[in-house]
Amino acid sequence: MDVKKFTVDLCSLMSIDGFEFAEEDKMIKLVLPYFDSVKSDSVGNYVFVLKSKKKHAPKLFIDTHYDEVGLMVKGITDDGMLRICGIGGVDARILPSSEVVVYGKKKIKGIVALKPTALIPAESRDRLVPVTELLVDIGYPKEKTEKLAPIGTPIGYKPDYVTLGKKYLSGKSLDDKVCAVAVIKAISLLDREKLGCDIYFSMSAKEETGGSAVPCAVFDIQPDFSISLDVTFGMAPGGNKLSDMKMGGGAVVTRSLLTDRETVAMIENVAKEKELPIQSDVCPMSTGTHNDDIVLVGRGVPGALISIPAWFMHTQSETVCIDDIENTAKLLCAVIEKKFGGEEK
Amino acid sequence: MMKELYGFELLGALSDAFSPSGNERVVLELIKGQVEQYCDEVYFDVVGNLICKISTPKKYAKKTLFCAVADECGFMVKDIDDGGRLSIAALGGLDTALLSARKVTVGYGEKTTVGVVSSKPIHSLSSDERSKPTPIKQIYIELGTDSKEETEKLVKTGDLGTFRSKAENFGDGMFKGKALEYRVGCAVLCELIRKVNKENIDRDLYFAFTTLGATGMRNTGASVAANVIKPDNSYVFGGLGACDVYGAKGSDVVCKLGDGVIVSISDGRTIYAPKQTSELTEKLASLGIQTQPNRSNAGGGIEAEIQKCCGGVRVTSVKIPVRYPRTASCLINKKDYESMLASAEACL
Amino acid sequence: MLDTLKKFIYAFGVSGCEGEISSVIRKEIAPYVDEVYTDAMGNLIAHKKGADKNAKKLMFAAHMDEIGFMASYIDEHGYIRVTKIGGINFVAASFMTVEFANGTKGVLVPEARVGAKDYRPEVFYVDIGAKDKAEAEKHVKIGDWCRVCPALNELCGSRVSGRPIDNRIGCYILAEAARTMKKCENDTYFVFTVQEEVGVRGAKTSAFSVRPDYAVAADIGGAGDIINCAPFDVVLGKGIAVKLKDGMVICHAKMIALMDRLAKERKIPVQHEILESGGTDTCMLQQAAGGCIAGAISIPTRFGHSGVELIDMDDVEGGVKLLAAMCETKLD
Repeated sequence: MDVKKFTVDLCSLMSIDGFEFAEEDKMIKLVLPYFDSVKSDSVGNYVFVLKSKKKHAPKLFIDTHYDEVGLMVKGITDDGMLRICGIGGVDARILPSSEVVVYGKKKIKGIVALKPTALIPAESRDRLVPVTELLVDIGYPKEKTEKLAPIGTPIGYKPDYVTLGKKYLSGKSLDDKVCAVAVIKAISLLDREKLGCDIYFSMSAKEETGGSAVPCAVFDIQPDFSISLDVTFGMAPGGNKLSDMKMGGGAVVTRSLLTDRETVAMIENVAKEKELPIQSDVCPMSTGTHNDDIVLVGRGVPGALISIPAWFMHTQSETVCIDDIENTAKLLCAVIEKKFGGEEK
Repeated sequence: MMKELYGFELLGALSDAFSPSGNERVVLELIKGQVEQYCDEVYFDVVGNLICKISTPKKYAKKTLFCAVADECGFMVKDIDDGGRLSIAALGGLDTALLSARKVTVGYGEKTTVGVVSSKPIHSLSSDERSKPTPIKQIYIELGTDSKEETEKLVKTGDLGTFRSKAENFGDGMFKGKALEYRVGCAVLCELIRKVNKENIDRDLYFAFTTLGATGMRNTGASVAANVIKPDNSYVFGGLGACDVYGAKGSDVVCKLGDGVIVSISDGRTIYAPKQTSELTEKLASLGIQTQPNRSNAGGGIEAEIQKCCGGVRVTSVKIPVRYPRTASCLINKKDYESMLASAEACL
Repeated sequence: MLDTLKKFIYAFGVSGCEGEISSVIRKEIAPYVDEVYTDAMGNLIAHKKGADKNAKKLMFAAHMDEIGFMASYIDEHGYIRVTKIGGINFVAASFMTVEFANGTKGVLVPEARVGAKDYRPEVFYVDIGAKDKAEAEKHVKIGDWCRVCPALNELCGSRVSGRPIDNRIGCYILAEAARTMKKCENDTYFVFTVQEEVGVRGAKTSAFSVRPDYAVAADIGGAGDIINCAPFDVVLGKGIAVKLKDGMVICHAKMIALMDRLAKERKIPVQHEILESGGTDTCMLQQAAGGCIAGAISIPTRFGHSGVELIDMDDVEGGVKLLAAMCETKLD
């Protein structure tokens, strides 16, 4: 499995919150070959299952969120431009003059219209135009726009992937699909014969809008363990030296009140044994990820969080180091084999 | 020999060429390849302008200069930090706030590399900073390198850069690309050169593709071109920023996409040659070419330089509306562009 | 047709104190369903059995609570300080007649010399006309619920105004749908939820116990035809609004498509609503237990959370027809 190509293929798909199903055929075609089956639920989660050959095997829940931030059409102006609102935390600084794709009756090219300075009152010129006041230009007159992109149509960043230097990949929606890539790569590395647990890999919905859907999947599956994977802030000039992680420094393992201490220690030990680079992060209360939504569902689930550092999150140029994806995959594979290898217990 | 391009294929190729101010040679070589065989003389002058000449057999003929700006908004690499990141400075009219998170091309000549423009991460911004455009001091370019040495293999200080963008059809009869406000003029001149019938002209025709026009400096390559050529009269082709969005009214609109070419009477820097300009306007009307007024009286470009060179030159400007100029994604209406092609022929 | 609505409007039901409104609704809906019960949180659940055993579970939810106040302190002059329950607009609530659950009337006023821009809950108090603390305590004790007095006035044409239209109009739509539906293809639950105004609490537990396959909330929405409001595409009189998203939920595309289809078939005018902030029961319906296919209808409303909430009854009729149509359509 070519990690870079797989990442581009998966991340290019449109999966804006609430529209996770939009290109599900393509997504399932990419991912299902690595699993036994897939089930989607009524809130948008896709759960891929890989069964152990053991009977009554423990259930391991692996979560990455499949949704991505975007915009939505909330109205159409007289000159055929789209009024928009954000879905999830769109970075308002980067929107003006960005190229986007309007997922209407067909895929339509769009540009977030730059507001001419003359039209901005003098006292507001040093401020950004708020997302909800921006327009998207698709170059059609009103009547056509109403047919092509009615109210409620989702809009996403234009997929445009480039390799930076030798080992960095940049483009839209790496948050959080690179983590899915790491999981799938890990599955491809697993020794299926030794697998001692049933793996439920959820590509979960609606993380970016806070209306997290993953508890519904956890409620149905009632797993015994969970490992969540998400992206975290990569260290960059002007960033926070305490909390930001080194790009290319390996998977980030988080210690928190909401992550299981034993599991975290085990992951760290496995990394040491296998000589895989890892970094430690501390998020005392909330980790701000799906982990927090999983561990207190139903009868409770011991959970761990593994993150991949990323730059420029929620922009059209999210960037990760490919080594980090590879190393996270190796770590996850080793952790599954160590904890659920089948020989122990 | 280079494949001859026409219409929007030609415009697209010119738009995609990497030619921020100071790196005009890339687009100019492309133009040269397209028109060389139609000209009597083709050369680069001292400041890098591409000058093409078609001579009339007539002696003591007058000289007409057709002119278009060749470069585009860009930036220059100022510094490379220890981590291999680039600090940049804008060249003229580039709004650096629009660079945030954009993919850019950096380099010199044909040797380029791709980078991503970054700024202070959003989670480290105060709520005040979040509501403001990103200041240039917080902007840097990430090339995916780990050290200064690694970066220096790709890019040097003083190298140039601009948006990475691909020209393409857009919406209902529109065309999108970078630098269209300048390259529409270049493309029209290329097509015009090919249409000149030497037998029918009674003047020497000069076509100048000029440098440094996007910098907004008082004097650019166009001054030098005009000083050397000493034309009797001149036509300048290019784009005029259209503000026909966000419900703009009156003079705020400037001009509107789809409403035709603009032959300005005056703008912020130039009062155009009255007789020559009104004659052209009348001729376009008689040919059924759609025109619209310049509703604003601001701005201005190389026309001002050409007009005031030597003993003065009669200047007329022919423009088409360009929405979102100085961004990676300028928009024009294809019908307007075709009107400009027809207008250019009318100037012969 | 306003009689039923009036009954709903006048019944007391501030969040946490929904007993009176609950019994009024129970009486109204009981004849049209198979069973009615109240759960531990106080949600009123009216159940109408489906056509067969395999029928899908369809849940409608409208919150029956309203915003209001609670007495928190009585001073020596007999003035009563109150704490707010839900999102109170103090400019709208100031100088209004209020009533406590036991019928005691009073007026809600700000302290003297406090201008509207300094309105905070702390500067408000209720004057019930008591001479002193002792007299006040005969009528009101700390912890008593209180609300701005209800009203329902008929305006031009089919428009009405008053309070608490939020969300007795949703309750009315559910009750009317139960009364007017011609058949019940799905196992249908009409749920009147509690404590929506203080954080959509009742919807969560009721959806967990009902575990619907499909769920639809009915609540008031916004209106984009108010002078100087931000552009918003929903207006009064153009039909019931099908919710696409609000600040807390993105509705399931299947639900939106279903509503659009039924509206087209039955010639019910509909609009599409996108609220950028705020939320309704919908998000909790969507996420309870294993989740369900959730959506909502919104009644276009001007001046929400004021004493003069204004709606068009024609939109409401459309809402009734749309919900009835869902009951009559076999869902799969």
